[in-house]
Amino acid sequence: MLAPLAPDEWSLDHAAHLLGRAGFGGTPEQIRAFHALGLDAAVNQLLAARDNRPPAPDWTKEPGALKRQTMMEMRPAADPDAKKAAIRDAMREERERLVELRTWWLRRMRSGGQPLREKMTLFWHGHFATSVTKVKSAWAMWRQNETLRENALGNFGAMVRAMARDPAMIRWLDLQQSKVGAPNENFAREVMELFTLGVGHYTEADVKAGARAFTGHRVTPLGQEFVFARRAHDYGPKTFLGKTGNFDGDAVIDIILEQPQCARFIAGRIWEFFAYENPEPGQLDAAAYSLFRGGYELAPFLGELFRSRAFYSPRAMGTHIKSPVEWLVGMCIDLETSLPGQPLLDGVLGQLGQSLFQPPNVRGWEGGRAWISSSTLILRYNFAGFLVGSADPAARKLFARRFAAPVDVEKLAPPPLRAQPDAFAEALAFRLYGSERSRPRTAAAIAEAGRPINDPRARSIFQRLMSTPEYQLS
Amino acid sequence: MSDSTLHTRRHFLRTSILGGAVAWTLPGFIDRTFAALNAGAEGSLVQTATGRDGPILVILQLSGGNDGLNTVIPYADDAYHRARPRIGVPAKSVLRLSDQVGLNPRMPKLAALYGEGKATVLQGIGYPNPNRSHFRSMEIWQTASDSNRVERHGWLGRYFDNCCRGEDPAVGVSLGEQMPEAFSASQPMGIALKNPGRFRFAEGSEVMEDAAADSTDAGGSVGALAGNTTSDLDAFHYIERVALDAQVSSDRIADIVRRHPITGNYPRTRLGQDFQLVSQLIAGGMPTRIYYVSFGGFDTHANQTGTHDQLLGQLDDALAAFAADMRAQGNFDRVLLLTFSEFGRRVAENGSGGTDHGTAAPMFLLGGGIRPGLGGVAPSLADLDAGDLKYTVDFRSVYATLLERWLHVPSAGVLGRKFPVLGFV
Repeated sequence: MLAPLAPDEWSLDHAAHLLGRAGFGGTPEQIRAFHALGLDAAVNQLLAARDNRPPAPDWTKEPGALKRQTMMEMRPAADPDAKKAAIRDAMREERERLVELRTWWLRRMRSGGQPLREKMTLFWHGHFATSVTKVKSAWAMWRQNETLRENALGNFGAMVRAMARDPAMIRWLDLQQSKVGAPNENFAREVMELFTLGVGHYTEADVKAGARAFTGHRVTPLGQEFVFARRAHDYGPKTFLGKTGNFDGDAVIDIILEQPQCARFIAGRIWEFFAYENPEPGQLDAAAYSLFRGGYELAPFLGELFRSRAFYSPRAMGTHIKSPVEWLVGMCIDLETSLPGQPLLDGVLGQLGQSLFQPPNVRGWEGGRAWISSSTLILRYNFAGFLVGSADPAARKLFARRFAAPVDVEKLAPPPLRAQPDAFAEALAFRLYGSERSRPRTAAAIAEAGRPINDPRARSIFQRLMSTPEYQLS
Repeated sequence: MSDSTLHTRRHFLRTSILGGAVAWTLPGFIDRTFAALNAGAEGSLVQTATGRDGPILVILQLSGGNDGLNTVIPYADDAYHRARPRIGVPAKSVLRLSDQVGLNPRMPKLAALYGEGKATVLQGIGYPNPNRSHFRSMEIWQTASDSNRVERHGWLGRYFDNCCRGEDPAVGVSLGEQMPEAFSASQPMGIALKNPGRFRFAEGSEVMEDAAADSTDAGGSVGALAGNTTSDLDAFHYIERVALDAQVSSDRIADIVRRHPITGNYPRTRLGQDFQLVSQLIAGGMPTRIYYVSFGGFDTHANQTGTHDQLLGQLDDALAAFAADMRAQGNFDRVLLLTFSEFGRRVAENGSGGTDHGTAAPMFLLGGGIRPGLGGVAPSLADLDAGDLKYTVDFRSVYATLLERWLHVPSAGVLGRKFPVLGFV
């Protein structure tokens, strides 16, 4: 068991930290209300929250999966031009659906109805990283996303079993083509290397045996449903991680879950995502033991982490480099504005290296310092200025029409508050950095902006404070 | 350090930090960071000059594990055709480089460059105890480590740390939004550059209408594979340093892109466009020694042939365009391009018309200064290790050769020990 934070140590800074890490941040009012709950109730609220808004796009109601493939593979090529046009239409529709899907998920993160569940869904998306570039179906990606969300705070074993049956995953890691006598190793390798055990905790022979066990995991011809293809399955005996038997995929997953290394690997991944990189071996041992003893139940495990002293230690507070999604959603929450419009949202996240449903590879996003390069940092700083906007009416009009609601500086920084530099610095530091720590910088920015602090000056102060190393951290 | 680089830095000092223009956009900068940089710059006056005359190394990473045996094909070996009844390339269509091996028919332009002695192949490149994980093997290649050891920084990062302290941060340029793990250094060096038109800190709120969506590499479960980023700086100071490096480079890049029109005739693929930008930066006299380009989609576990042929075709087109452009610019003799992938693929095809993760593979070399003829030693198809090729040349010998013979620096300090130097340059 991890050493807990004492209830009387629970501060406003801690509340901001927890909301930022376990969710996507909060406004000053939300953080104050969250703090008033006390640590225990605050964690319980995060774990229990359920909110299904906004609902998924309408087209998810009917399985139109893998439409493009279907057209290419199943239609007779009677009229090549008509077929080409149909494929082009289907591809355009897929692209549009993908953008809608991304926007829908980002809105869920922004709305804050179930912040931890959405954050965990994002974690699992990076963990079981599957990309639409190969799956080629927005519908299958949506469905995987819902499976990740449903199991996000449930049981890790159930999650792995669900992923081994997930249509997008089956396509992504080539299970569809795997069969007795000619198993495809892609899924069996990654399930151990990336999803459960970590590299070095299995042999090449285990990869080969595992590949045989997962033969038969397929999707129906239209790609919507899992099907176990008996004729493709290898029913022979296999030796896997030291055990021998006529194992199928689920049996292999059970053997993996019996390895304490699996709990250690998953506890470590969750720790690094929520708390900090390279946890102390003693802390990780304790966390892994909790997860293993708890039968891989995720909610109690996360509760223990969020109540722990380590989670609020100097190694954790203000040291995490925000991912582009955390940065963008968090910025909209901080500025109490809506998300920018679809094309801009999609373009910016793509250029910052985090296109949802399109991770760069099966290991997902590298995270940490890899988010920051000269190229991405310039875009982050410039975008902050863009989002805060200028006071120029023409620019405001263009901005409002194309991208988002203008940031209401009158509300975020009411003129009476601006007239009191100390109180203004304190309020800005809390809103943007969630902490008193950066008050000197905030005070300096206010002093340098000049007086009186009119609308353009107030906006420039916001831009300045968001174009900083601190603002990239949470 | 060249005069022009020093000029840039002094210019930067004068107009940006002291003038206060940057202080508004980049309020995080404190004297300490700049003082450290400046001290480094002073100390590096003894460095050899780069800019318009120094050697340039272009690394092209093929992500996902390129199938070496269908790229450089041992067409005369029956064992090849037996192992690949479905996906093997018939001997008659291979573009012959020797009486044993030839190129995939999708690479006619590289075959022609080989004929002129301007491109070649290093065969059988790998390392002992190969790892078949994409990520671990890529890390081994990017950090030049032994397979049972984890190195904290990249091999090019160690080159920057050892040989380029205090130089212009653009001594290394990575095309794309992320830095490759190979650039990871104790002090961050190098810049990541994707769209030169947007590579500058904006004043106030400029409209970002052109922030169009980017289509990343398609194909396979490994599109892009940049790896981890490490540094001895904590997160805050790391970000501060990256911002400073971006600021140092951005005026110059904007200037180059404005003044040096696009030359050459590049394909409209992402790879072609990346090489076009490399060419523009070379023409503009950037002080860059290392350019790093990535090309993904090589993880061909299933239905390999169409995908792989297309990738090789794109590679052939882009490399040929780059070679022709470098020749036209008069820069071909000082540019050396090297390709690598994290591993080759298994000798025998699998049941899905694809190939699973393997070991040793060939590398391509391109440039005016290379020694013609095949390099390395082709691995035997009769003497396999659990279905995989045994490597014949350690990839760190290739790195050592590049460091010693091309960049003219001692290799042992960068690679940790001496590796035999090869004769390809």
